[in-house]
Amino acid sequence: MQIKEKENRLVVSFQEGDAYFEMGYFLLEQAKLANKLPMKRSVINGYERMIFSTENVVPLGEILPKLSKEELIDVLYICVFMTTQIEENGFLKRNCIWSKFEHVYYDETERRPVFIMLPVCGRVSYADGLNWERRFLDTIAHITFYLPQEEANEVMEKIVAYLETGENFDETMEAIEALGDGKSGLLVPHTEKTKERTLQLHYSGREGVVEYTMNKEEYILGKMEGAVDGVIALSDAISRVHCKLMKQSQQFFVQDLGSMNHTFVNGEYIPPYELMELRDKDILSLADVDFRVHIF
Amino acid sequence: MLYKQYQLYDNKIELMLPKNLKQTEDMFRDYLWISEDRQTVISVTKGIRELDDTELVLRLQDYYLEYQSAMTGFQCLYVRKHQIYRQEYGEMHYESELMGYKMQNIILLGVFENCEFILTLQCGEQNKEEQLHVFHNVIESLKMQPQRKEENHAD
Repeated sequence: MQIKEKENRLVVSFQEGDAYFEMGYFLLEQAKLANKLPMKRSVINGYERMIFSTENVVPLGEILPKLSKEELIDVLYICVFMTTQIEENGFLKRNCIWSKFEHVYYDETERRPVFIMLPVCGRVSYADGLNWERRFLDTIAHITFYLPQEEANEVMEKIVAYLETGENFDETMEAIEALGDGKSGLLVPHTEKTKERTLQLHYSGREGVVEYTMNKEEYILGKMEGAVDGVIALSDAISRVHCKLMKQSQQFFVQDLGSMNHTFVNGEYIPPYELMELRDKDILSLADVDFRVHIF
Repeated sequence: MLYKQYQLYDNKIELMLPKNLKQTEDMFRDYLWISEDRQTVISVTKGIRELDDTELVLRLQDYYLEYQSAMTGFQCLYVRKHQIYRQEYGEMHYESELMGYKMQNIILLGVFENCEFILTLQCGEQNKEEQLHVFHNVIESLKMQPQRKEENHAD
């Protein structure tokens, strides 16, 4: 792989044996990473070339001495955040971020660092023999050089540990945030975790009000204590082991377990051992007992 | 929509499929289900090519390249790594054309008994959103029995 700087652009040429992979280009486009340099591709004599435009950006090395402390913290934060963000898809690895300090740029309009992102898979070696982590840490060291040294060293230690183990990401990001005084406005929000959904069955009738909350991935309902998760003593028509609620990803299903008086969803009969998806506000009937499904 | 659970490959794989799909015989695929209107097709195949988790991305790329060059109207919509019941899979959703009709396709590629495991799901444009939701349910129901580590016994 060769990188050549031409006027307002960087040209990366892939050669035989390089870790270039075609699907990676699609993955990079799909990832919609805000911190990637605009790119185009071309194929010459069967070899892939990627052309990155550096027209509206400045080399990070030039701008670093001019940045405020808050802006430096943002740069640091984004650099470390990128290593996780790029791996969210599962197939792209941090190796895709070309982390050589001389090739990292800064977008003054958006006030963020921008990187060359390469569709590579596997090991990427730099011409000087350094591996990706060493190259990345070298870039980080250039940034922290302009921060108060004692604090910067502490954060640097956390970043090194995070890169080595892949653990304590949140702690590392918090340590970077703590370098500032909260005035920085650019910080990328932490990845939001998808909220786990829960299913609740609600009965309200002659026997009073009864609720069952599904607290595990498979939840069996019936009237036999010890054999089921939710014991229903509301009707004799309910079988000892009546039906099973199942959670798959974020969806819920009910499976009749061969009950005597059957299971219904909104009046539709569920044949034994078959499944039906449950949605919020459905009416789940176990024999003659109706439950309102509440998914939240 | 009612679903039925299927046990495949001597109970080593469990899968939930829409009840309205009919299982049929096929020369090239181990299991095949087709809807009455022939718009929805789901298949399961254990390939002969060896595969392990580390090669998943490259093998998925093989399919990506193959489809790109061989399929009319191929347009990849997403590629991602997908974990289902602690097993990792590569998942690709793409559009293609078949006799002038646009088709929605999902291929799920995983490792089963050291070989590639392929689940494909295809439907037409009709009720696309609902169909893709069903496909999502099918994919999430996939349970593969963890492989036992082979023991080496000295003779």
